[in-house]
Amino acid sequence: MKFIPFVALILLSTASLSQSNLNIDQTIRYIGDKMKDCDQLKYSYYNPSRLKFSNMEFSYFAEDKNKIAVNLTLNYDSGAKEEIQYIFNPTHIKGFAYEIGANADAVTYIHVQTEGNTVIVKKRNSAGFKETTDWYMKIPYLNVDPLNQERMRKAFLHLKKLYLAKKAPDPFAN
Amino acid sequence: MKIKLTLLFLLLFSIKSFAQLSLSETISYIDNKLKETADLKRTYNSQYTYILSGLKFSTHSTNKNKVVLSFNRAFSDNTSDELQYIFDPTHISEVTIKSDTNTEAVGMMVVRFVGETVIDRQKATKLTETTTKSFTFPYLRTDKLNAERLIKAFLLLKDLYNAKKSPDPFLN
Repeated sequence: MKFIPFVALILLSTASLSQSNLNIDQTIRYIGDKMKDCDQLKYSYYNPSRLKFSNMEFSYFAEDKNKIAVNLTLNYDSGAKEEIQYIFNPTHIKGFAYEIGANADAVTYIHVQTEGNTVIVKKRNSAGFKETTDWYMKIPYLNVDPLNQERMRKAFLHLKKLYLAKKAPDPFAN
Repeated sequence: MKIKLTLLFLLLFSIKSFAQLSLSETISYIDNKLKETADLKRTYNSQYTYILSGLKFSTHSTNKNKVVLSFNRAFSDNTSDELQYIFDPTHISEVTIKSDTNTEAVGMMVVRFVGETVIDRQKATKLTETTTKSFTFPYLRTDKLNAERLIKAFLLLKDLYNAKKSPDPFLN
């Protein structure tokens, strides 16, 4: 019977490991760091054409603390450059899609999908500036660590959970 | 007996102290090994030679998770280039000796990575930047033990960088 407290301790520690205790700031920084791991690295967007990532940021959207702003710059091998900004509300995250092993690049994307077209997409390239909305955004992460895909998925779900928790209860319906 | 014991103690102490190099000491060790090849000649493409200079192995100035290797080559045809590799030591997969038929003082090691995560900058007439899965590292092979020492040093560097990474909060 002595082993029962021991088993309970193991179960408790397993539970705490599976549930991250990061707060919103830490989770935002975590995802930002994962993106920055891809800085200056290449991705084959249309084999053999490649692009390089730079200026990556994942942070609070300055005008609205309920939203997150994601910035990245794509430098194409052709010399073209595209600056992208996604603005989204983490409580709208619905699911994920992954790019399946089409190439052996060090970097790949996780597609973060949202309920409805609630992602604001701003793009600036040689053709000018364009703003639209979409139902997903493409976030780069380092593919060389096979655990990173699952880490990214968990981090985004954790962020959603934290944002849902900080929402004030709706006075009319929850 | 006393002499044997003292020698054994010294040997154990030296092994222990090698294994206990800190991150900065390991970088400095590899840097010193690299600098041993300064101003020495190596044959290139069997018809040219080049002389190495500007050799440096150090931590990246803005990203402490990365290391920078840089050196210059002055070729016998009066051309030159500058090479720089920026890499994350936790991505090292293998360090081997490059097979070589010549017997020059400078040999090459090949450091390979788990993916194309090494930023490769080369400047000859103009600067080009790409990414690569490996780079070659010059070393002095007149000392037969140097290759093995450097392989160990690179693997220790990988271990030290892995150890300083904080545990991932989402999945390990």
